[in-house]
Amino acid sequence: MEMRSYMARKTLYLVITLFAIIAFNFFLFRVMPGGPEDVLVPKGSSEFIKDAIREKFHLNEPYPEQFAIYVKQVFTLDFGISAARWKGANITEGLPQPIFNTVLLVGTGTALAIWLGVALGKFAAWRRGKPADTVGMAFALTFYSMPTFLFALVMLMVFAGELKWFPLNGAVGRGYSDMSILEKLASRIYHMILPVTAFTIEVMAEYALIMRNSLTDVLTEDYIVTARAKGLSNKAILRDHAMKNAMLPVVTVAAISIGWVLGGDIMVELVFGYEGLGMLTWDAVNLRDFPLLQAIFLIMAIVVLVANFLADIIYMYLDPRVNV
Amino acid sequence: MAVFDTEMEKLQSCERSSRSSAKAFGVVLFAVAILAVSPLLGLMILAPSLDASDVRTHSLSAATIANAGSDETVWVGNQTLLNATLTTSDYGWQVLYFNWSFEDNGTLKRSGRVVPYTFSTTGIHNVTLTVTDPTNASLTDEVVVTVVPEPVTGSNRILHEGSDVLTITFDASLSEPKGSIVSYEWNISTKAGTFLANLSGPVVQYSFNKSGNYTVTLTVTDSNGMIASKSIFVRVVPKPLFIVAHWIFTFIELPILLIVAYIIIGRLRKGAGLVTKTDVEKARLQYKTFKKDWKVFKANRLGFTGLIVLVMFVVMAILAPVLSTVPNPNEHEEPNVPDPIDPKNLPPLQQNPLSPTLKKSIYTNWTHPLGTDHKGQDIYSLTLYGSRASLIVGLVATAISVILGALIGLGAGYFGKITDEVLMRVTDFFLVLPWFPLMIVMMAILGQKFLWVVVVIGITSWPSTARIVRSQVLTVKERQFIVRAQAIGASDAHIIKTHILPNVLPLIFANTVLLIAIAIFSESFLDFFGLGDPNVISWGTMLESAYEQEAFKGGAWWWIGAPGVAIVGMVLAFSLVGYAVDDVLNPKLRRR
Repeated sequence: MEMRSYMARKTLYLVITLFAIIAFNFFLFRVMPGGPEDVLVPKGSSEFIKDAIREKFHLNEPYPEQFAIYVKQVFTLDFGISAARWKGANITEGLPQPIFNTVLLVGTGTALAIWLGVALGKFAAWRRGKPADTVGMAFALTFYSMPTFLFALVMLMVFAGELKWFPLNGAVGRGYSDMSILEKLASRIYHMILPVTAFTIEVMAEYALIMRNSLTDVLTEDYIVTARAKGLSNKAILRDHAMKNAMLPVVTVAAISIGWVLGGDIMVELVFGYEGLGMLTWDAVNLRDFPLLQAIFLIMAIVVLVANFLADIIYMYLDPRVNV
Repeated sequence: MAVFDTEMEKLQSCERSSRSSAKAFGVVLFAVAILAVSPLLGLMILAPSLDASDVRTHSLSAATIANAGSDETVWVGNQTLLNATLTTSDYGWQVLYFNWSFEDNGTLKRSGRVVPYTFSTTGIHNVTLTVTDPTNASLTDEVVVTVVPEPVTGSNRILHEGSDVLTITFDASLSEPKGSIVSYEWNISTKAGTFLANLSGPVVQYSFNKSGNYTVTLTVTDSNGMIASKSIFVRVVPKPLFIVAHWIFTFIELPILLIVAYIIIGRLRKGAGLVTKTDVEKARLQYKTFKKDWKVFKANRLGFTGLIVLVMFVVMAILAPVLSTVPNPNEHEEPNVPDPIDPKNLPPLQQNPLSPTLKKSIYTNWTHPLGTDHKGQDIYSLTLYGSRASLIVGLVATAISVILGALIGLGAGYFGKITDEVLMRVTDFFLVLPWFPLMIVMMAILGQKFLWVVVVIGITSWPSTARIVRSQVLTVKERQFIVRAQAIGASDAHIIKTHILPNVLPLIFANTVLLIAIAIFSESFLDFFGLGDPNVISWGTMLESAYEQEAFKGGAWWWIGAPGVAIVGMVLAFSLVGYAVDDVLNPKLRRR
């Protein structure tokens, strides 16, 4: 029963925050200096596109009506008209491809990062104070402090620029649409290796650090001493007693750091020219295509929101004591 | 084809009519010859304008017109191209003679179809072109080249209103030909055409006081009576707001000064003197605690190393002008290699002759110990100056975020109930927003100013501070001395100021140091994204230009390496110090 009310409250917050995000996104592009006419309607584009944008966002009407229309449009997945990137085309039509590319990159990368990061953190924490711990943590700390784009640049320079093992940019190879399915798969994997590696190592460092700290904390608890006194094997202590508790902070931080992860994704996509949402953000900023930027930001914010919600649910299952 | 067919018939009839073999041989030869040239002949017959004699002699027909080019006006010292053309076909350029004659310090003659010449005297020069063919038939034409003095006005200027260089000196004394210019007239008007002033003389001064666009036109007259004029544009940019121009003063120094003044005036008004005995005692106690903490901190080797690295960075930032090898690294050196191959065709890194550096010759003179970038700017000096931007952003943005976070956290934690609920929901909302994309969006809308970089980073990173402050306030609030202070009727402001803040702030200090690391990290990200201020030297901007110029393809590792190592070093140092401070201030964690 308690679980159900917890779920209900979380869902209520989710809905409220969702509306808050839509409202925030609506006003962010309208209250800034210059007003909506200056921000949303790009200066350099043709009169035709300008008129189309004015009409689409109903910029001539008062704010409350504009907002009602905007909310309606968002819920029907209508993000308006791109000003420069797709010159007057519907944003909704162009989005699926970049989103697919990004989901592929972030999904693979995050899964790998959590798996490897937890493993590395566990490895270091178990050998606390030994050389393996020092080396592992120095490694993690360095990558944690290193901006993702820097590491990506170095990888690009070494593996694509000098050794020429991997392509310099792109998410897929040339003539992708004419390829057979196997070739398509091969081309994708070939183009994804460098970005995914860069992304994984950067994100992994954070998980490793948290895992190591939380596990060292747990390992000093009294119940671990008890387990040892009972004569349990190291493996059993780690698996049955330590890891279950140590995973909790990892889940919390994973939820909080999704914003970070998106930042890392944008940097990686930018450096490797991988045509995903991050690259699209860059295009939108450079071309001053604010309708598109608005749509991208909304999508990112909602994704983070939903991910946080899921993390809360997972946390609840992992730690039934939770009673917030 | 019709022509060809008739020839074939002729040939066949010839063959039929002649019986003698000798005759036949001659006829066959003739026929073959005819066969060979017949298409050519046919063409010649079809082309009506081409006279057969024209092909033979290349003579000038009556219809030919020689053209010496159009009249032009050139500045003295600049080359003129004398270029002759003929109206008929291009047949026989080689056998025609083109002679040019003109006056320039005496009569001069030049021959050739195209003749480059630089006139040394001003005035109107009549140039006569004579075209002669081998049969001595000739044609003439004239072109007038007007050579005028060249005014030297200086270059276009952008002035900032409020600065002390609004009075500009215009120096035209270098105008050509030197010494023979009789008068210099300056006309200063707004760009719209409103007349402002007329000045004369080779060197004049004018003050531009109001913002706007101005045109300055110089008209010179030389001793030959030739007149020439040239314009430059002066733009006076409106005065920036005081807050924007002196934002470090407004946001950092002024508040600190005000707080100090407030404390001093408060003490003086109480009449207790500036330094009381209690102060001395307090300071002694604080020093004692500090010494104890310092001992713990020093024992943390990683944190201590981080501190040393930080001190090095601060020294770098302060002494950047002394340590750098070039006076102003943001101004690039002009390559002094004369006119290289068209730079557009070269790969980006090689565009500048100074670029692929780490060459021995440049390495040994120590001007560019770490090489240069695509514009010939010294990487070493840029890296030195870059530490300034990073430190300023790190400290100021963190100050903004700590102040915001502390205020909201204090409010939520101390007042509780509905205030807490509202403030925490707002905090949660900002915590959920993906803040890298949020920073990008805000920077894109606000524009690329260094001030905005700082402010945007500051106002997107406060939620975590607010949460920590709130949780600390909640624990402190329940302590006995707060309850007692409330019982004797102390005001909320007094309790917060004297009891809660001193107990909470040290605890968030560690978090603050970590926030600095994140702020520096964010700044480099924004710069790399292309949203940094282009006029400020920073490591992120350096990396961005390295990426834009495809340094990774050219293997310019020093260009990526120097700022990269600096960023990692500084962020790592702040993180290590932050962890160590956390270790010192939260002894609970020390057993780890």
